[in-house]
Amino acid sequence: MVRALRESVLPYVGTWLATFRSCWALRMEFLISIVVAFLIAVIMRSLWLAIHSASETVQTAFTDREMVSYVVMSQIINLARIGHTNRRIVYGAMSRIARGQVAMDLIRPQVFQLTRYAEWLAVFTFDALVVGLPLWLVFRLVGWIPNPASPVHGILFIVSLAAAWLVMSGIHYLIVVIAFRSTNVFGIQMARVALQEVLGGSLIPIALLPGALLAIASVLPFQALVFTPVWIYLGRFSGADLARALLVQWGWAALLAVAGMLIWAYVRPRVVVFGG
Amino acid sequence: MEETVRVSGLSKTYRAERRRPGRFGWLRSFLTPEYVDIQALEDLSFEVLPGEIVGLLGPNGAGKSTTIKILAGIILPTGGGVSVLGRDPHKQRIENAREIGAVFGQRSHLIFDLPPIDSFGLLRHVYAIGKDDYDRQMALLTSLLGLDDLLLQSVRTLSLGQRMRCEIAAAFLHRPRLVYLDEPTIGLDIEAKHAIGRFLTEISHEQNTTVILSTHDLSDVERVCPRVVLIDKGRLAFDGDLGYLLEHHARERSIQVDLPSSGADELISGLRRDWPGLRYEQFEGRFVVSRVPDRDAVTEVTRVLLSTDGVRNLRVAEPRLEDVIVNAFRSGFPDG
Repeated sequence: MVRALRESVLPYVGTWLATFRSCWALRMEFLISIVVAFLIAVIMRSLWLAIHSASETVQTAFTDREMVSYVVMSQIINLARIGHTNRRIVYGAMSRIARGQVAMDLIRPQVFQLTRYAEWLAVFTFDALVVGLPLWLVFRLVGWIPNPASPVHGILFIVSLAAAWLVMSGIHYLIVVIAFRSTNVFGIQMARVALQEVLGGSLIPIALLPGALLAIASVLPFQALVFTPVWIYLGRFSGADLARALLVQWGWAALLAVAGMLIWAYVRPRVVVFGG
Repeated sequence: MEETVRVSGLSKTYRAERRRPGRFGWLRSFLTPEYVDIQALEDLSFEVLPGEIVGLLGPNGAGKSTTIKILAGIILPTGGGVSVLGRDPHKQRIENAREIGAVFGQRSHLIFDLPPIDSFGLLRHVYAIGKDDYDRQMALLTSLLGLDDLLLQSVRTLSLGQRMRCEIAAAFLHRPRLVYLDEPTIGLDIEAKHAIGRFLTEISHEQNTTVILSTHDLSDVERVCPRVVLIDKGRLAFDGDLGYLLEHHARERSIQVDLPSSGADELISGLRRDWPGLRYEQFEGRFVVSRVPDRDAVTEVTRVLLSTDGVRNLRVAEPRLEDVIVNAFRSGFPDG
């Protein structure tokens, strides 16, 4: 029993640990990630302040302080951050498939999906520790963002962030398994980034989207990535709305994980690794 | 004794897209892609017993790597069956993976940005190896493969030979019962190849590990494999003792000798008259490599050469295995 548990859990702990260590080996990547994330947050704040001052619609939805808080927080927890994280996760996995390096994954006693999730959790942990947390501290100190609306909102924000990570990993995994059938999924990846930026709430707060787009955003998983956690952090969700938002997030996380499992079961017998 | 590997009637067909010919072939292929079936393996059967070291040989595209990928559970065969340690390696991939190790010369176990010790640490977790077992096996592998100075150096700074030694250690770290080595010595110098050959012989003997070695470098096979399985165009061409193969397909020998400065041409003409199949090459006017077509003729040609004044440094060279294989494929395998 203990041995079976050890054999089931240890491979993924090891994968997490090794990937986390390898993240630290790239000092320049780490510095660039911080600088880029910081600059984008500052630029987005200025941009949205300008929009806020010129638009009555935006003024109705947010105070200028709420606007800044939303925009800056959304950049801090942006799981689709263009740069280090994104490159390591999707392009790393796609490159493994294209080069046939995936053969090395398949000769190990590990479930392919759980191994990818363990790797991505390590990249996310690294990103949260070296980019997200320092940025949160800096922007909190300068007063651009408030504390969570309440201790309960703070805790539920973490729960929501965990769900957001699972949703993101689910989407990434779908792209990766599709790459087994169509080795070049660059176009799909680009579409994913665009959809995520617009419908996930990191570029534009979802509450400001026009009616039709808002309806589309509400039935897609992207809202679970940025909008929901930030909305919880700022205390804009409460009571039944909050419970529903969390349920939708975790529902998407489970649905995408199961979809990934099913597609992998279909793709697995058709895997081809050319060359010696 | 129950076999470690059983391959019976194995076949594998790949489907590959083919560009249509002609000026607008690219457009026609884009609109209506055309596919062709490539038969990589056809009715291949062989068995490997526990503790054996078997060389899997064949020309490029023969199906060696495909066979190994099927045995490792990476790809699914189109027909026939394989059993590895009593399991179906594809259906029971995870259970199978716990007991096998593999080195694919073109792929890596190692994490590029970290020292090898971190990759070994990862593999310790992946295979759930206890600390004592890990320490003991690491000590053995470090000593046999000379890894002492490499363990803490970033993989990206290792030479090819150093990296390959680490790859081999990674494949043997969890004491697998069966190891596949696909081109493990590609690009290595002769010293590194010898070191790996010695290691394979020792570890197989010490831990009764079964090894299947696929390689283009036939000197590897000569060093470590008493038995060879030859594949040609996806079919079994020969399965048996390496010595037997040499006996039946290694008829030619080379005689290397320094000829006297005068009378060399007459000597060679005389030899070619008596043995018409004899071929020779001359380097810098004095060093001759003669290819003697018949094993029995070697003794006679050697006798004639030794009885000639001025002949020095005579050496009879065994045939290279490359030549044996080419000869075997050319003449077929009636004895296989």
